[in-house]
Amino acid sequence: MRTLRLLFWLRWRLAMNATTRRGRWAMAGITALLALLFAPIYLGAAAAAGVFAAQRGAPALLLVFGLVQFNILWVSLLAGALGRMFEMDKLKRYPFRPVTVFGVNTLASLTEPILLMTIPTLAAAALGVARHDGTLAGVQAGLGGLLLLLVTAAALQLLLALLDDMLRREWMRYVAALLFTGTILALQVGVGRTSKRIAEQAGRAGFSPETLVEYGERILRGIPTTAAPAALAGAQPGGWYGEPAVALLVSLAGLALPVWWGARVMSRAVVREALAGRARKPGRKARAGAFGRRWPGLSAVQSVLVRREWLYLVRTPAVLYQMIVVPLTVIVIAILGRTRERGFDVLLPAFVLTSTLAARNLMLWGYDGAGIRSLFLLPFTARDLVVTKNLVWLVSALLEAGVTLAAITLLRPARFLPEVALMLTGYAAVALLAAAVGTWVSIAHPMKPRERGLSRRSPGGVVGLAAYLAVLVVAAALVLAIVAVRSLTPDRWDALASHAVAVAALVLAAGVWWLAMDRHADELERSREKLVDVIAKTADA
Amino acid sequence: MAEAPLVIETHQLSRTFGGKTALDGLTLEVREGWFFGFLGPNGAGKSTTINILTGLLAPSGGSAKVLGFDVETQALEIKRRIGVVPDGLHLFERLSGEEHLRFVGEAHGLSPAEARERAGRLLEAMELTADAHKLVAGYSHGMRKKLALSCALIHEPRVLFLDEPFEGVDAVATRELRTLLQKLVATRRVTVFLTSHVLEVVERLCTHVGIITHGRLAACGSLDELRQGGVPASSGTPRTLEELFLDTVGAEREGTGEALDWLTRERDPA
Repeated sequence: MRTLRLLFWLRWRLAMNATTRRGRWAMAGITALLALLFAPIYLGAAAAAGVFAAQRGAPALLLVFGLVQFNILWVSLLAGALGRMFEMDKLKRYPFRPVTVFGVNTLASLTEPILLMTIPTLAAAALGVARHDGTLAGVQAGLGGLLLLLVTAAALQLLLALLDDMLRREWMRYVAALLFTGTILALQVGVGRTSKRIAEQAGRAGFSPETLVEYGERILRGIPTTAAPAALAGAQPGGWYGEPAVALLVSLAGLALPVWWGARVMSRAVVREALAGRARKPGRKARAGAFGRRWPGLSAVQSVLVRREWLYLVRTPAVLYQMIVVPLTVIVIAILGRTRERGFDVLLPAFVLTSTLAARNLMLWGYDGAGIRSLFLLPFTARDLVVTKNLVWLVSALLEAGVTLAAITLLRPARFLPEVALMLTGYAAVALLAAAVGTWVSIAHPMKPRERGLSRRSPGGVVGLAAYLAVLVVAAALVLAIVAVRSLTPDRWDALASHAVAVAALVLAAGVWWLAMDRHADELERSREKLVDVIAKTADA
Repeated sequence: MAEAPLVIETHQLSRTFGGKTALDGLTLEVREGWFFGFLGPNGAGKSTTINILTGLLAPSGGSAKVLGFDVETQALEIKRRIGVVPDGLHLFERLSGEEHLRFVGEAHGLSPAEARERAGRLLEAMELTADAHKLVAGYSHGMRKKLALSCALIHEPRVLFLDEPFEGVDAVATRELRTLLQKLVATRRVTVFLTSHVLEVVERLCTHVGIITHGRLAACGSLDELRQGGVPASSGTPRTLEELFLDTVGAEREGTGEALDWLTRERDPA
C-alpha cells in the first residue's frame, strides 16, 4: 500500500510540475469536451445494456461483459496505447519489486478514459439486473462488473507489455503501427464494400438478432476472462464456470497471471540493448562526394543544412509514419467515396490532406531533439536555418500531396483528373501559408514530441490550436473564393477562373512566405534559449 | 616579452534566470595559448559562462568578447573560430558518427574532400571507425564524448570550450586526449577553456585557473601564483589545487555531521 501511495504521489507531482495552472484548466476543459463528444456512444451503450439486462436478468451479463471487454481491448490496441503510467526503466534503480510496479500500473489503468467510459454500461447492466432479479442480484452484478474491469485491465497491461517488448526499437513500433493502420483501412474498404451483401445473406440464412445473441454467448462461454467474472456476477454461463469456486479461481488467476507474467516481461525488457539502429553505409560515390549535394540557388552551407534536414526527415519514424498514413487514408476515402457530387468527392481528400498538413507544420523543430543545441553552436545564420527547414518541409508536403493525388487520379481518373492540377496548386498555396504560420508557432511555442508510445502531443497548446484553425480557415477561404468566381463567370470559363484564383493565391502565399522568413529568423534569434530548453531535454517526465 | 593577445574577455558579465542570478558581474581575461581551468561548485555559473561565450545564451548585463568579437552582435564570427564540447553533449542523434563529423566540417567551411578526410582520421584516432556508420543515438556516453571532441577539433579552432570533457571517457582515451590538447596548446597556440570537477585533471593540464562561486570570480591567475598565494613564505609548501579550491569557495561547511547523524554514528551491533 505504501508503494502504491508513493508511486501515485510521484505521478501526481510529475504531472503537476509539468503543467501550468492554465494548462491544467485547458486540459480539464478539453477532457470535458471529449467526454461530451463521446457521450452518445457510452451513454447509448449504457441505455442498451440497461434495457437488455432488465429484460433478461443476470444471464444478459455474459454478453454485456463480453462486449465491454472486447471494446476495452480493441480500442486500446487501436489507439496504440503503448505508454504506461509508471515506466519500469525509470523505477528499476529503486527498491520496488517489478510485480508491485506492474500491479500498480494495472490498478492505475482503471483511470484510463476508455475504461471509465465502460462504467456507465456496467452500472446500467447492474441496475437492469436489480430491476429484474432484485437488489441483491444487482449488487452481485455490480461487483462482478468491477472484477471484469480488473481482469480486463490486467490482460490489457500484459498485452501492452508484450507488444512493447516486441516493439522496443523505435522503427519497429512505427512499422507495426503502420501495418495495424493498414489492416484497419483494408478492413474498412473490405467491409464497406461487402457489408450490405453480408447482411442480405445473413437475413436469407435465417440470422436474427436473437440468434446473433445466442451465437455470441456461445463464443463468450469459452472465454475465461469474460465467463468467469460473468459467472461470479450471476450470469450462470454453465459449463465449467457454473461452479462458483472454479469461476473464482479462474478470475483470480486472470488477475495474478498477467501481473506476474507482465512484470517478468517488463523487467527483462528494460535491460535490452540500445534502441537505435545503423545508418546505411554510403556507397563509394557518396563517400567521395560532399555531405550534401549542392543545390542550385542554395549556398554550400544551405545545401549541407538541407541534407541534414532530409536525413532527419527520413530517419524520424514518427514523421514518416504520418507521411505514409495520410496518403493511405486519402486513397481509402477516394475508393470508398460513393457520392455523386463531384465537388464533395474532391473536397474530402483535400480536407484530409490540408488538415494533417496544418498539424504537421507546428512541430518543425521538435524532432531535432538534443541536436538542436549543436545546430545553434555551429556557424549558421538564423535565416539559413529557417529557410532550409522550411524548404525541406515544403518538399515533403508537396511530395506527400503529389503521391496522394497521383494515386487517387489513377484509381478514379474520371473524378479526379479534371481537378488534380487545381488541387495541387491550391494545396501548394495553403502549404506555403501553413509553413509560414507553423514556423512561427514552432519557434515561439516549441514542443517536444513524446519519445515512448504512439500518442502525439498537440503542439503549441492554445496558440497551436489557433494556428491549426487559421490554416484551415485559409484553405476554406480559398475554396470559397474558387466557388464564388465560378458562380460569377460563365460555365465554360469555370476551369480557367478556378485556376486563375488558385495561381493568384499561390503567388500571394509565396510572397507572404518569403517575406516572413526574415521575421522568423529574428524570432529564432530571440527564442533560441527557449527552444534549447524545451527541445533538448533528454527525456519525458 | 610582450603579453599574449586577449582571447576571452568579459566585463561585469551577468545573467539572471527568472530572478535567480547565475552570473553576477563576472570580469575575466584569458590570453592566447592559456590552458584555462574554470572551476567552481555546482551551480556557480560555469556552464552559463560557457553558454554566453559560445553564443548560446544572451547576457543580461555587461559585455563579453571572444577573439575580439562581441558575443551578442558577432556570435557567428565567434562560432566559426571556436570548438565546443558542451555539457550534456546534445549531438545529432539521427546522423551516423561519420555523417555528423562531415556535416560539422562542411558547416565550418571545409571542402567536402577535406571534411571527409579529417572525419576519417578523427574517427580512427578516437577508435570510432568500427561504429562510424552507427546512428549517434546508439552510441555509449564515452563514444558520444569522443565524437563531440572530434566535432570540436575538425575545423582547427582557435579556442576550445570544453565542459567536463573527460567525464565518462575511459582512462586510455583520456590520456591520449590530454596529450593531444597539450600539443595543441604548445604548438598551435590554441586556447583551451575547460571546466572540470576533477581537480587532479585541472592541476595536471591547466596553466591558469579561475574559480567562480555564486556567479562571481573569486580567484584568477596562473596556477603557480594561486597556489603560492596566502601561504606564509616560511612554510614554503604551496597549496594543492584542492586546498586552494576549498579555501576559495569556503567549502568546509559546518554541521554536516550533525545533520546526517544517522549516517555518521556507529552502527548499532544489535
